[in-house]
Amino acid sequence: MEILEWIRFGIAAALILSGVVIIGIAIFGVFRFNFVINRMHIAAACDTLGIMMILFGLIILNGFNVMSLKLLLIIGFMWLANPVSSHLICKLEIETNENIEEECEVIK
Amino acid sequence: MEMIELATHWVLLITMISLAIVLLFCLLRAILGPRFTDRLIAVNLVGTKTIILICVVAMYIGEAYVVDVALIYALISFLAVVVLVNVYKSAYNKQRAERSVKEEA
Amino acid sequence: MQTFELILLSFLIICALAVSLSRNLLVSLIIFMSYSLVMSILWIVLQSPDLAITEAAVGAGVTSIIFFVTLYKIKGLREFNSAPQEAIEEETTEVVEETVVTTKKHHEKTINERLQEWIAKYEMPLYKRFYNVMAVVLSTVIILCMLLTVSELPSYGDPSNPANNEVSEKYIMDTMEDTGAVNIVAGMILDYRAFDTFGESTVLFVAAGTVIILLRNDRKKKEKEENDRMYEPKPDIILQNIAKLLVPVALMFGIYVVLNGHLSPGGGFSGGAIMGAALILYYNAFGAENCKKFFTYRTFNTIIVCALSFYAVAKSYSFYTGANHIHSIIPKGTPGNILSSGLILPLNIAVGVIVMCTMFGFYSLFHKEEI
Repeated sequence: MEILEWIRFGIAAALILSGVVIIGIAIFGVFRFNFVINRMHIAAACDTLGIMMILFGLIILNGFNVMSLKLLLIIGFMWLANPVSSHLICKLEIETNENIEEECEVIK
Repeated sequence: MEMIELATHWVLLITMISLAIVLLFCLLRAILGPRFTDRLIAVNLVGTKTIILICVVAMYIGEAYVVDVALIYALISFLAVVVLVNVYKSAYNKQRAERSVKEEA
Repeated sequence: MQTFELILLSFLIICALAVSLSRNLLVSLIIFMSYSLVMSILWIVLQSPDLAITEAAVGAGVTSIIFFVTLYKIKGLREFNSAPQEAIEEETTEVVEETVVTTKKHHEKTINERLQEWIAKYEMPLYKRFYNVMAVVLSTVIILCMLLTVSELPSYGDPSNPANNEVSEKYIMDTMEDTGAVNIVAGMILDYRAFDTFGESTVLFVAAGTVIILLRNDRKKKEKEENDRMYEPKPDIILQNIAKLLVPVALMFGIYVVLNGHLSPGGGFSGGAIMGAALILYYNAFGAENCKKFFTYRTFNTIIVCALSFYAVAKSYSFYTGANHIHSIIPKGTPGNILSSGLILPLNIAVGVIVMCTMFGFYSLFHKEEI
């Protein structure tokens, strides 16, 4: 039926475009903030959400395929690995920045 | 049916072009950022954008085996961040120890 | 699509300029890695997925990581407290030795003496300026020559190009019947030209052997261990828990890419690089002591020697039978199955194992001088 195809396309397009907008917000935030920890926070959160929305849109556009399974695997991998990278970068910043006390409060 | 295909083509094309422009800005942050951690964040961002771009290009040209490359990149960017953090921390600790020894002497 | 390619190409140009003009080695390495990442997208757009996978696994992955560890080894990471633009530059400012002229008796300086003084004073700045101007002129001349040559190449995609002659046509038509492999590239490198791949694996083996000879140091163990334990970062619990989940997945994916070398893009080299990357992740998350429990120096030796000798024995009959005798005892099977295409599957496994051990060996030797 034609209407079903249009609904499917509509949902997928909405997801993909909102994902692109969220990634745009992420890169805008990286440029506006002044301190490294703020930049890392906005980059990590918006990046992970954006990739999930775009890849879900692609899965809906594709149907039941082997390709959809691989895309699901990529989403799972990204959601496990991206937060750990941000955690490691933040830890490195706290331990190597000498003036960290001026920028934020560090609880050891 | 043709309308849907045309619309899909346009949506994917807009996504690809906007993501490529975002990629250029991430590179700017990698060149500019005054501290080393800024550049690490930029490399992480470039890696994620590359994964999305490869998946969208795979959908656009219709080949399905290209998604393997994106899976490889997910692993590689994570591994690069881990290695960089460890290596930088070791070098920093070593230099700080040497500097404190020199100041005592 | 054209706009997309143009934006990516300008990204590459900016990357190249930034790498050559930055004064800090670490920044250059990071930008070089992002160059490799974007290059892979262009390979996919140009319809060569084999190159994309190899660029991803080997170029952006293992090569960049080994570069980082090399920088650490040669103590090139210097600027820790200042902004990297103020890094310590290694330019040695020439100190012109001033000759003290003690004038006991006032006499006019001869022409020779005046010439010597003028040379001593102005030599260095003049030489520097001359060198800079000549460098710019020479580079411009060479760039113009190369651009002239590029403008005379035949147009892209022309059917009458020299690249579309009968050699490539024969390979494209005959590969599936002769070798049984669906992936034409795998059929070429592991069946028609398997002897060349044997040379490549030998090069990897010799490189690993050279690095072991130069860097491996298992004397003075106690003092080295104490020093290293002070400087190594403490193990991170979050990273360890995630690594327990992700390393098996990565290893399985590497094995999948190796085993499917003759059906889908990939093969021995990229699969081996992925497996090596998984092992490097384990090494970083858990430390060297835990790695030695299952991957010792003896394991490394045994695996590499066995894999290389298996490859040599399997393909050395082509010495006696000549160039195009590619039939072997193992049957070809139906194309599309995993157990097909004769000898390509075992050879892929051998090459993958060699590459994995070499990459992990390089990382471990550069980081800690032992395996």
